Amino acid sequence: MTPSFYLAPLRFSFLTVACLCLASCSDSPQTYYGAVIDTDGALDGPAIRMELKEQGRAQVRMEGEIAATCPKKGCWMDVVSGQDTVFVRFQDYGFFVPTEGAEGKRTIVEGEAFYDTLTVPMLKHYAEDAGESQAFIDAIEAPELRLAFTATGVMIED
Amino acid sequence: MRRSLKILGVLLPVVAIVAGCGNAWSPSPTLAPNQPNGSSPLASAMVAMDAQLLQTLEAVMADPNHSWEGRRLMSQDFLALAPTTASMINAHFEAQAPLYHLAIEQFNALPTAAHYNEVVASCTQCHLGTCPGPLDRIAKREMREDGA
Repeated sequence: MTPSFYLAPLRFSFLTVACLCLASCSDSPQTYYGAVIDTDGALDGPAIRMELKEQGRAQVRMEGEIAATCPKKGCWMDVVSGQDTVFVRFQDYGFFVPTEGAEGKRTIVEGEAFYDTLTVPMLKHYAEDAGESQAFIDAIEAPELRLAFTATGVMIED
Repeated sequence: MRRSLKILGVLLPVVAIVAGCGNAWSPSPTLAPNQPNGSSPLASAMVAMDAQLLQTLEAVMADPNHSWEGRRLMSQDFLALAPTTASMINAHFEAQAPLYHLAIEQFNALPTAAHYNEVVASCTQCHLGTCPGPLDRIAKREMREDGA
């Protein structure tokens, strides 16, 4: 009786366990805001621009990294997706995201993408929300056309 | 004995995965509360005001005659309530808040669609100069001529 011969299957099984556990446990916890959404088939900024060429608005899922959230109420967030920084607001002001700690996290948002003209008062308000300096706020003099998004649901990966 | 070890070799991964990593394989999604950051007294009062407008609008729409008779709106003293941040209280807000109270008094004295819409308009006017975030939501509280 050679113990190592009998232990070989066990060694294999422990390796299998380790590999499977690493693979299965690597999923990061996800928190949903507004609604639990399906996260499959999310597009990035350039793909959304292509969709918007066909029609002015598009119902899509978008994936990106959170650059900032509204530090006062959590009523908007800037999401970097491809080359775009998309301004995301939440449908009907009906839900909010964390005011802090979300920067750099991966997100998927579901809802409507469109081009939006942000007026000067709106830009000043959002700049004030974001804690920009008075000089920065005063320097805003022209409206801005941005890729925007009204989300019905948001997933943030912790 | 070798057979037992083989069975153990098959069972161990299953047990370990189910026990240790079961959550990752069958995740139960966490849905955060609508406002995960807490709400100030002023924000809560505005949410209550919004709910009241929606309730009134729905009640009128549900009435076969779309009657406004006997409808009343509760007024809240927004100027006395603590905001989410101090910067939300500006000269525009201080000028508009009393107009909102006047609009509600006018509606309560004579509840009509026009007076109801003036209350909604007072919310819009205030938010245009303070926080534009809820403007789309407020617009949905208007009683339109087509009854929508």
